[in-house]
Amino acid sequence: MAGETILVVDDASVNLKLTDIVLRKEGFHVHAVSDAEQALNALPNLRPSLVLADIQMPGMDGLEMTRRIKEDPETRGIVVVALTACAMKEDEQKALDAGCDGYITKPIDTHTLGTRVREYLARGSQM
Amino acid sequence: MHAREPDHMALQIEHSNSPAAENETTALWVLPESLREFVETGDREMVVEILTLFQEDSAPRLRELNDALASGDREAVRKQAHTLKGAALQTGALAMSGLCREIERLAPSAPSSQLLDLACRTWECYERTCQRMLQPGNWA
Repeated sequence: MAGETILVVDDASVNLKLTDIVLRKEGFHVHAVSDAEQALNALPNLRPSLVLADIQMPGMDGLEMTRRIKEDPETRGIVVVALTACAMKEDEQKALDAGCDGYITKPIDTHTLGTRVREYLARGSQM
Repeated sequence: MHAREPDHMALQIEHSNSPAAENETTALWVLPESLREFVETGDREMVVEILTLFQEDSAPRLRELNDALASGDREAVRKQAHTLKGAALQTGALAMSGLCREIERLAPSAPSSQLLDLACRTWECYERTCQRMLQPGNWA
């Protein structure tokens, strides 16, 4: 499980950096980008096992990015996990409706992030 | 966890004229447990990097928020406030996070003057937070 590639997408550089650091410490290969367009462009070569994506981003938001990933037969097998603001229940439902395999609420809990990512990866491999 | 303290607590203290300066500064910024762990394991430089990123990223976002207010683009105001709120909460800038939450909540409907007042207070809060967060003596 460790050693798998995770693509992180977030326009907030603090969240991007912290997520990158924590997941690298957990043994994952991490590729971090700041918007959805960069993420979609990176997918063909990167072939990540999981995309961890902020929902509210300028330009294309995380929901539209997820729809595109899940519509494409080449990428629909990638696990997509949304990063949603704490207490925004409607965001969580929107994320699931867009095709996300799950969500993690912000602020990011550095103690549990690696475990949550491994759980989503394990679920994804059973599908 | 400190970072999950209700924002209204920070705001309440922020608005207070109480001379309880120690409480006021604590509410302004608290090193979150998630970052404190890195300090304790010797990754102090990494924490400095993240706090510096917060400072560098927030200043242009605050300017963009003000620009959006000036042009009446309330959706842009709401989005900037949302992003600022998240980054502030992640780095323990509790009072600033609370102010941004208020802007995000009020952006669709509040009078412009109220949003401008909140934006000014957020700038002031940001500057005070920056002064406090990179003084290692405040990391205890």
